[in-house]
Amino acid sequence: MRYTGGMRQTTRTYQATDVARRSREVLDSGRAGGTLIRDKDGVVLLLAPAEEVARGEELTEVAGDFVRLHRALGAKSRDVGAYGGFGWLSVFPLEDQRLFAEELEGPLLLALSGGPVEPLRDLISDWRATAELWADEALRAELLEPVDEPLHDVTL
Amino acid sequence: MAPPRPKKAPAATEPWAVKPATARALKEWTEATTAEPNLMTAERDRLRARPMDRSRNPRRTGPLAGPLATRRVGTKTLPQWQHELTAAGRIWYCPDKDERIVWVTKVSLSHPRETD
Repeated sequence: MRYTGGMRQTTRTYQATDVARRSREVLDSGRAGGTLIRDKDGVVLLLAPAEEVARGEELTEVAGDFVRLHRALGAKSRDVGAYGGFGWLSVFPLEDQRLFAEELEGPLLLALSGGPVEPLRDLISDWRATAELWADEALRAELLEPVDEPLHDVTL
Repeated sequence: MAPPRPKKAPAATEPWAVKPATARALKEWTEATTAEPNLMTAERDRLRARPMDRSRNPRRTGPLAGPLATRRVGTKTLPQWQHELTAAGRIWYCPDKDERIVWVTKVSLSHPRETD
């Protein structure tokens, strides 16, 4: 039996002939979650909401990049390619790269456990936007500079 | 002499006060308003109503992360946010939830350098 990692199990299996004879039932089953359809030659097809499949692909990609990131962070030297899809992270100092890895872990595990994927997307989006700014030295310096005396008396 | 009364925190329903953090930010805001008046009016309205609401467009509005996550404004260390005004324009600000003040720290209608 293949490792499922606790992911949702498909609950119904239909035959190819059911697609025509019981089409509504098959479609409803597919909409409710993963449904298997066994074709006449034995090949098993999955019928599931496209959104769920896309989510699974997205999480697989992020999880793979997470593993690559940890390998990169543990290596003595690293190039941008070693970070996989997180190549943009290489502009940061190593301690911030490690911070990203720490912050990523929780939302990734939550999403992989069937929880919302939005916190994961937000986190990656926020870090990526920050990387763009960090790469611009002048802008970086400006955004790091403390404001000693903000203009309390001016309202925009 | 009686000690000064603690300042009452603004009610959560009141609009935020939008203020420039620096003279430079004020200049940038003024220039951007001259160049794009409708855009900046809409932005001021957004900042007054919901500066930390990213539900309408989460990829365009959000807190910065890591080393740029916070910035000191006066005596406080505040979160630092970015909003994409346009494909090329950005505004950066630090919301102070206690005072309901949005400190605008920078406005730019040109895009920062893209990372590879």
